[in-house]
This record gives sequence, C-alpha cells and structure tokens, in this order.
Amino acid sequence: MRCGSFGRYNIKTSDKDRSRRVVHNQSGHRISRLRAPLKIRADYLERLEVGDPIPRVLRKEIGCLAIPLTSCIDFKLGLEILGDLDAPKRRGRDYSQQCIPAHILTDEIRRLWPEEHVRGFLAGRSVSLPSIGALRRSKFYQAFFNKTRGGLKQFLQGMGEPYSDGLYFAVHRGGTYFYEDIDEDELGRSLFSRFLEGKCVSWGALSCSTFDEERDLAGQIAAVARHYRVSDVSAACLLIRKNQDRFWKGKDIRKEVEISRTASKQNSILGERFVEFLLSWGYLTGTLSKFMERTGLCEEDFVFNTSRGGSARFRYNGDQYEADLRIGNRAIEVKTFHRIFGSRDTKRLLLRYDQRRNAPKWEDGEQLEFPSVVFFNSVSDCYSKSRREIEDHGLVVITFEETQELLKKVLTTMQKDFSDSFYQTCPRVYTPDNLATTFEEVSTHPYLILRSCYENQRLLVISQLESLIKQAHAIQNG
Amino acid sequence: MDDELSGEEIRSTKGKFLVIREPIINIDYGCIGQHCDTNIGLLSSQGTRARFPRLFDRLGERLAFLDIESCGFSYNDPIFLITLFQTRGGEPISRCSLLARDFTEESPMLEYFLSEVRSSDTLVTYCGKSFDCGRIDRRALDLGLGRFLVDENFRLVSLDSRFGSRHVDLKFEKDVQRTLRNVGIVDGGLQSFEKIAFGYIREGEISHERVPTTYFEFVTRRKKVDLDGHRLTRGKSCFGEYARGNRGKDFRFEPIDEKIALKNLLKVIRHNAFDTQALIAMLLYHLENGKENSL
Repeated sequence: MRCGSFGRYNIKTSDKDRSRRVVHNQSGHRISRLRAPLKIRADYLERLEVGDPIPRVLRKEIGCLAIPLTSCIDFKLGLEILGDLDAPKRRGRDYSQQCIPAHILTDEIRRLWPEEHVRGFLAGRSVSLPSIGALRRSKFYQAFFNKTRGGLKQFLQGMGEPYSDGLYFAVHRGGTYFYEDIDEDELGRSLFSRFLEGKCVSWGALSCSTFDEERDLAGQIAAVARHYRVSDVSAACLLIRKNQDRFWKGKDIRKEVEISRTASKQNSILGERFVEFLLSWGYLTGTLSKFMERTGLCEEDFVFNTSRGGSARFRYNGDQYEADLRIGNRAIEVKTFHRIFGSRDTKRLLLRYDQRRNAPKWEDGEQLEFPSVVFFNSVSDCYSKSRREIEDHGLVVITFEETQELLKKVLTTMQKDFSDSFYQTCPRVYTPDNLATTFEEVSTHPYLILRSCYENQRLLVISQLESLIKQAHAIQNG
Repeated sequence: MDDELSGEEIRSTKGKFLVIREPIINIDYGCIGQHCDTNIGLLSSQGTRARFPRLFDRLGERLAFLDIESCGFSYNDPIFLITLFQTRGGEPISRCSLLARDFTEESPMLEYFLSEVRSSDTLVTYCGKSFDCGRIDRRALDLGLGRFLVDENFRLVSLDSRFGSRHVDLKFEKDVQRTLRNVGIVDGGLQSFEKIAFGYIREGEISHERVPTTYFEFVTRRKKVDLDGHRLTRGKSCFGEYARGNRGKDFRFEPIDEKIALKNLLKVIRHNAFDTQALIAMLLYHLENGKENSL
C-alpha cells in the first residue's frame, strides 16, 4: 500500500461516469476507484466477523478515505472516518500450546496414522492414509510447530521408525510432487480427457476439490509449473497440448483453461436471473404450489415485488446488505458456484440470514421475515457438508434438481399459455428448451460454460431472461 | 416472420437448432443451379472417371460440399451457419443449411454437423483447409464436443486430417485453378468464376465484413451506432451492460426493426448458399472443360 510520504493524492469524479469517484496521484494518473463509504464499511465489517483476511484492495480503499483530510493514503485514519472501527487482529503464535507434553502429540499421530497402516503404506500396499489436512483440523496442530520449530516433519523425525521413513512426504500432498516422478504423457492424457469432457483443468480449481485424484492432479501440475518456471495455467496448457502439437498449431487455449473473474461474475448473474425468471413466471403460470408449500410463501408475496436494486437492501446492526431477490418480506439468496461451498461461505451466509439473530429490516422499513430461501445452483457434492448447518439455522435450501424440475414445468406451461412472450422479448427466445439446457450446464458443468467461448451465450441468455422478467412484471401490472 | 425463416427444428443432446432444406434447382440465380442439377451426373460417369483418374481416386461415392459463416476471423468467434450439399453418386442434390438462430443453438448445430459429416467420404471446400475446417475444429473443442474429434487412440484428429487426401480444397487444386486460368479467371475466386463462366453478377449482396454485424443485429435486435447515429460495423459484442470494455465508449445501441434484421440475415444465408453452389459448379466446370495433366 502506498503511504503519504510517496506523494499527494486527490479524489475526483470520473470524467466518463459522474457517479464514480476516482483517486489520482500527483502526476494526474488514476490509481484507484472508490466505492461509497457505506459499502466499504459493510464489506470490511463482514470480513472481520467472518474472519476473512482483509485484501490489499480494500485496505487501499479505506486508506483513500483519508485523502480529503491529509492528501495521503492512511489506513488507520480511514478506519476512524468509517466510524472508529477496530483494526484487524494479527494472528500470532499461540504460546499456550507450548506446554502440551510430547507424549500427547505422539498419541495423536499414532491415532491418525496407526503404525501398521504406515508400515503397509510404505511397503507399497494399497492403504489409504489421511492427508495432513486431518492434522490441521486437530487442536494440537500449532503445538507441533512450537515443540520443534520445524513443524510436523521435524517431529516425525524424532519419533523413529516407521514414522521417520517418509511418512511426512506421503501425507503432505503439496510438497510430495517432484517433477522427476511425474509421467508427463500420462498427466497430459488425463488433463486432455478432462478438457474434452468440460471438466476443470486449472490448478486453482483442482487444488480445492474434495476428490483426492483431483488434488493429486493439482499437485502434479504445480510440480510441472515449477520445473518449467511457468505459471500453473501455462503448465496445464502445455500438458493438454502434449504430443498433439500438430492439431494445436497456432491455437491458444489459455482462455479456455483459466477461469476469468468476468466469466464467474456473469455466471452468478445468470444463476440469479434464472431464479428470478422462475419465480416471476412460476407465479403467473401457477406452477409454484409445491415451492410455496416448501418455503411457506403465500401468493400475495409474489405480487410484483420480485425486484432487484433498492427494495432488496436490508439493514442489520447498522450495516447494509443486499439480498439477491426479495419476495414479499422474505429474502432469496442464489448461490451459483463452481467450487466447494466452504465454512467461510457458510458463515457469511448465516451472518446475513440466521433466523436466531435479531430480525433485520428492509430498506423500506418493513421487517425481514424468516425463513430465508437459498437456491443452490450446483451439484450437491459441492455443498453437502454445509447444507445441514444452513438448514439448522432455519434457512430453506432449494437444490438444483428441484429448480430444474420447476424450470422445465414453467417453460412447458409458458409454451402452452404464453407462447407469444418468447417472440416479444428482445432478444427473442427461439428455443425455450435451450434455456433449460443452459441452466443445466450452468449448474452441472460450470467449467464448460465458464470458458471464454461461451461468453456470447452467457450474455445473450442474461438479456433474454431480463427481458422475460420485465414482461412478467408488465403482465402482473396489467 | 416465422414463415420467412422456415425450416425444420432438430433436437440434439445439446438443444435445438434450425435446418433449412432446399433442392439445388430451387436456389434461384442465373442458370447455375440448373447447370449443377443437369451435370451432377458427371460425378459418376465412366467417361469422366477415365479423363480424371487421379482426381477420382480421391473423390469417393458420397461427397459433401461445405461452406460456413462465422462472426469473424478469430478462432474464438462463433459459427452460426453451415451450408452442406451432400450427394451420393449422381443423385440430385439439395441444400441443407444449419442455422443457429442465437448463440445457444451453436453447440447443437455443430454436434449435428459433426455426426452428419461422418456419413460422407469426401469433403469439397473452397479455402476449407485454411479456414472452415480449423474454425469448426476449434469451436467444437471449446464448446465441449471434443469427442467427435478424437480417434480410437484418443488423439485429436482435425476435420481436415480425418478426410486426409479426400479433402478437396478447390482453392489449392492445381488442375482446377489451371482450368479457371485458361478461361481468364486469374484470381480463382467464386464470384469471378460465376461472372466469367456463367455471366452472372451477384447484386444486393451483403459484403463479407458486414456478416458478423448482421448476425449480431439479428440476435440482439439492436444496432450499434456512433454518437452521430451512424451505424458501426466494428466491434463484436453488442450486449453493452455486461460485456467487457463497453463502458464509456463513444457509441450506443439503438433498436433495429425486426423485419430489416431478418431480411439481412436471409441475405447472408442466401450468400452462403450461392457460395456453396458455386463450389459445386466450379468442380463440374472443371470436369466438363478441364483436363488432368500427366505427371
């Protein structure tokens, strides 16, 4: 982050978009864009509560708030301006773990990796050992570092056979991949077949997978990337093109391998529009009875207040949040994602919609009613661990299968009773069935639809759905 | 509107798209359609076989004449129209235009094409080696249709390599080009061929540069204009709000009349059909008037 001593800054409104504020440096170059202070505050507080690290961009934004006072970027002053907020706590070493006796740690290791299992594994038998992640979840994880200053590796060395004979490298998957041990041809073949099937092939996506094989692939890609001193995306491209250079001559597949932020954003917008379309047209076609039963919504709730923007904002403890949709006084959250819905994501979701907390209020003063509804537009493997926790906190979870069934029903009824609406939209919908296919691809093959070649399709379907939603509102208003 | 863009809707695993079928004789321009229909028998005549032994070694029983239209020259640009004339021996042939009416139909269209073209044993194109086949391969692979491009050893085989020597690219066929040069067609282009060999000049056609814009206008029902209201043909994305890099540029979008958009698209479809028909006519012209040089 730049400090005041590097120069003086000023804040101007953007030349092209008057509603935006931008920060200029001494030479007049634009260095940052500024959001509204309330948005920055809400973002910061949410991260503090969930325990997420504060990214550099957000730190800079907060620091920029001090420019009108001091002409410098100052993070601490920015926090004061935002309302005397606490600075993020630094994570230090937990010295209380220093006094844990070594025999407790040894027992913990023997429990996780029993001796006979380790002997079998090292002898080459097919024994599955838990990864180092299992130890990370243990309450003694910090103690290994405090005990030896070298972490688990040093500790295992001190335990003697069989633990000192390479157990560390067997369980520490991140560091156990060496280029010399990798068969590039085979790795290339498996990545190539995944690419053909539309599965993820980038290190980023593979490394956070729940499947061991996929994490293995990620480790191998990282090792190849280290060997050739290239990025992981370049390494994946290199491996996919392996031995097939004649076909790939002059063609760059980088854009299809790496997942761009724009694509992810468009994908989530697509998921939201699908749900909005479903609810607005589902009400008109009378196909929502099952959904209403499940969520406890009544027909009056659906009367044209399914809208985005101002009305979907709500306040809670002085901070402003925005739901994806609002039906009556209930909040609807749509989650379209292509990775595991982890504990932090769950925390963030519950922070907003937990039934046990004090009921927040919508921007227009109405009380936010519970339970809120969450649409998970993804295969159940991705959120199976979080689902129970979310449901326990009183949220209603609608799975992809339920949404897909409902969508097909709505489209079929629309083709019978409201067939004109598909022709009156701009852009026109020629094949309503293709909408259902696109939704299925968004939810089940996200890595395919996130490719850059699908950009036009993503944008088109968003425009089509928005147009159909407008029509539904117009019909409701008579 | 539906009457004008009439065709058969075909469903594949990836969705639906439109197929427009028409006998070659109905493709109404000059006498070229008529000429092709009359002379198609040359492809199976014994006399022609004797005159062109080397060419007929490469021409199989089932021929596919192919031309595509895409939204630009980049490998990433969508393909929206594939015109295919398939013939078996000397049978009368008909046009089969596969049209993606919007971007969601591209994937099913390519899937259908790739399964359909397998039934042909010879591919005839004009510049297909350098343009059409490469684009089809790349789009199919990116859209998740790679299974059509791999062989039994799980290696990628491009459309061009699949047909191998049975892919006849008329642009690079020396004998064909020599025949054309003999009658004064120096550049060997399809439109010059029509003009000199048949005395036909295409009129009211949409130029190649305007094809992508025409398609985008048809799909999005809006046109891109500059601040003075002049139509812009550059720049592919017409979605404004969500598209990358569109913010703050000196252009805006205006709604376009549906009928005009359709009329322009029909011109593009026609243009593509003419091109493919000219391709057949060029091959037949060579068989009629040309000769095969001895090695």
